[in-house]
Amino acid sequence: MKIKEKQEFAKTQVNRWKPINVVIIEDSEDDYELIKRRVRHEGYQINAIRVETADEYEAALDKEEWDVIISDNSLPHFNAKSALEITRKKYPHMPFIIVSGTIGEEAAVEAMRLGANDYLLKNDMARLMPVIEREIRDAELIKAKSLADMALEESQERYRLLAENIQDLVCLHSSDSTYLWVGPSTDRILGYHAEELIGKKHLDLIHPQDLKEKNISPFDQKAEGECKPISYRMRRKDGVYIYVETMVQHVYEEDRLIRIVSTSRDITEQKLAHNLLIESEAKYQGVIESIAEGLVLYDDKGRIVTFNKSASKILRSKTTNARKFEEELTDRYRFFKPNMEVFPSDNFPSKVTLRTGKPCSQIIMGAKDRGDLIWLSINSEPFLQPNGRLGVVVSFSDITEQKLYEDRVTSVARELTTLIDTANAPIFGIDWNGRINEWNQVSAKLTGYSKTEVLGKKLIDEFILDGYKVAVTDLLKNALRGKEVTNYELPIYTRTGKVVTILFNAAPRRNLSSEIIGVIGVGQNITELIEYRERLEMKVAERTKELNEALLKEKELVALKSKFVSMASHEFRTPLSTITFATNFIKRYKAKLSIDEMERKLDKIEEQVGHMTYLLDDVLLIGKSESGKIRLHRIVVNIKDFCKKIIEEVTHSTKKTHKILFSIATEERDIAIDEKLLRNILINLLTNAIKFSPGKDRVLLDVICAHGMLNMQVKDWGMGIEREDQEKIFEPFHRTNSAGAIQGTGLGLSIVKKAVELQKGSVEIDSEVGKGTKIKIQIPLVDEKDISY
Amino acid sequence: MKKILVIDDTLHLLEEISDLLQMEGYEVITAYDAFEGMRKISTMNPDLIITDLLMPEMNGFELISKIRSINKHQLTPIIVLSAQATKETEQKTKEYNADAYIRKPCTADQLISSIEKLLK
Repeated sequence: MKIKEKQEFAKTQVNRWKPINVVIIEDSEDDYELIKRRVRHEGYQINAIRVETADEYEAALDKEEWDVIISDNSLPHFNAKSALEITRKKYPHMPFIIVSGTIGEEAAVEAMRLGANDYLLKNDMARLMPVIEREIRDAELIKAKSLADMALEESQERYRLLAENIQDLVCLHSSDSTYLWVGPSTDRILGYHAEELIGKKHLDLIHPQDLKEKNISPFDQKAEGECKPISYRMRRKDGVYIYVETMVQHVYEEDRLIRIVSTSRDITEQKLAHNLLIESEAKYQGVIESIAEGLVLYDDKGRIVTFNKSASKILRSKTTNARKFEEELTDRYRFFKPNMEVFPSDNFPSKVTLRTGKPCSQIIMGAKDRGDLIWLSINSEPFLQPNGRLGVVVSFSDITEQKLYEDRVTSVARELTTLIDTANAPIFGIDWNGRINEWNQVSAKLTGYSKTEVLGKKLIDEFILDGYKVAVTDLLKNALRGKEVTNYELPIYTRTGKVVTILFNAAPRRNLSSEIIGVIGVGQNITELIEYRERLEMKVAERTKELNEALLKEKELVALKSKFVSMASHEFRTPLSTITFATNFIKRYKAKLSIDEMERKLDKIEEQVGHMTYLLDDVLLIGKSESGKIRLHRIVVNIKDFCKKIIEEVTHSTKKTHKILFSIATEERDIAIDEKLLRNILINLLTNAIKFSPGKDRVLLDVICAHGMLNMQVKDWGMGIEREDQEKIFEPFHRTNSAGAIQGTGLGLSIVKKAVELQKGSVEIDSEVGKGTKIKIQIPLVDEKDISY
Repeated sequence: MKKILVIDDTLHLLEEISDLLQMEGYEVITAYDAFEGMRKISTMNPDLIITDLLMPEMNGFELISKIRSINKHQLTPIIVLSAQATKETEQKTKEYNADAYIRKPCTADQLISSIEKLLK
């Protein structure tokens, strides 16, 4: 339209209100003015510039937009021909008029050939203005025409591009969907040529199922104004169904549907991709649903988008609806921290991640409705939603059992710690460097160093005695290598410098991965025990010695007894032999024997029987005393009378060979003594004294009873006892060499000794061979009142 | 008449044996210990010796050894009359080449038959 307007305007007139811009190539000022006057004369305004050289001209051309160029044919330094060349290079349609004083026919032709628009003579200036007007108009026309051409070309190009690039199938249908006109994409999309489709119905090409199931309403006459795209399958010429998305536009004429324009697009690829997407989403969904972890997706507003089955299962929820699930989470449950404090809802992992954009990991949270407490370990992770905003995916697992177990383990550990600390035994631990890292109350009490004082110190340097350092270092090394050490006696220093001994067991201490991280030592203060043991050992040694002595004594006793028995039997056999022979003698020769002879033999038998009776009594007495069967039986006696009676008895039994000299000095007339034992002592001593002093006529008995002591001394002037025999004469059946044929049981002195010892007294012997023997007895007296009857 | 030496440190027994053997028609020499016994052996040359074992100073076994060391008495019958009633003693007397061992107490018949047997 614009082009047309311009053309019409140019046809009518040159705009007189607008000055005509003219470049005048002229060396004459007068001619220049003449031209200007001429233009003004015709009623136009003129804006002119005069140039004389090519340079000036070119500068002028660039300076403004000119309507026309008027040039003199020939100038001193320029000419129309050159100017024309310059002009046409830049402005092919610029009106260029040559004005010359004189010009030949040839020059005019030449000028026109070069492209000048007209040729005027200076004396014919009346033509000037009409030429200018005409040329300006022509130039406008040319200019307008070339613009229109360009516009047309552009438009054509646009359509071409459009046609080439249009993917959609554009069709024109009658109201019953019959194809009236078909766009060029038909070949590509449906495989039909356009002419093949004309007359066919669009609805016939739609997949019957889609036609049935989908409401293809836009093709329905009644559906007015609907222009939503609908998608369905269309059968191509080769029979293959493709997915298309179609927009329809109804064209009405006087309220009557006369045409339908459809624009269909092949969306098979998108559709297939979409199907794949659905499929993969289904798979993905399957994965999500099958994992044991609960998953909940929150959108950027913190609302639940979706959640999986495990999530509802873990939280004992039955709903599948995200809204309801969200309501349950906020209304039904209360959430706790591991220490059972209420979990602030602002610190929920989903909210934290939403707020900070950072993930949370392994947050322990207890969830409780009216039922059990469920312990959850929760992770939250930000993700980018399809809308480009931040969402949160929260995953969680039920760790209730694990938590309960951990709680138990924790309480066991706490208990253990308390146990160690309060155990009634020193317990201490060291690390790999031998530094103390455990020190219980008893350890502190025992050593006098508190836990805070010793922690971090080296056990070996601080507490172990020099002589033990190497051994203990080895021992701890062993424990660190996993070797247990048991019952090691470990002396350690205490604060006061005292040394206490600990019976020490060391075991490696391990962490949860069973790696050895140190040594734990359990001790027992055995200082007292050791002292006790030492005392005990001493006692045992003592007792052992005593026992050995007793054993030796016992052995001696056994040997003595066996010796005694064999001796006793020997001592009995001899008188028995005499008795046997004497009786045999009588039997054999009774016819030949006189009464005297018979009498003598019988006396001998009697004598030997008597001897044997003594012997038997002595043996029994010894046996009794040896086995401790003799019990003291003290009675109160008049000591002087008692001694006299014994002297009389001995004197008689020894056939009055000796006189017994008797002296007594006593504080008390009556003393408490064991009568039988004292009698044995005195009879044996006196009898011996007499027997072993043959040829002498007296023995002495001296009794002094004073200061709670009974002293008795028996003295003879007989053969005496050799020094070596003096020790042995108290042994049973020991007889000195010098005893020779002197009759005796060999038990007398041993009976004396036993009797004295039983009364806690002592025996002393003083004898010299050839001069006589003195035996002293000393027996402590017991107060009358203390004796038992 | 055969001469018998009886050595014993028990006087009353020595008397009884002596009485008995004299009644049986032997000449009896007595000694109270081994030394006296040795003396009497060398001086009186007994045909048979009866000895005790347990005697002071020198016991019966030493005595027997000494008797056997005398050429003349290497085969002189020796009767040991002992109150030591052990098998060991009996065995030992055989080793010392005594001819008989009689345990005290014994009967007159035992002693006399043993003497008669050895003097045959």
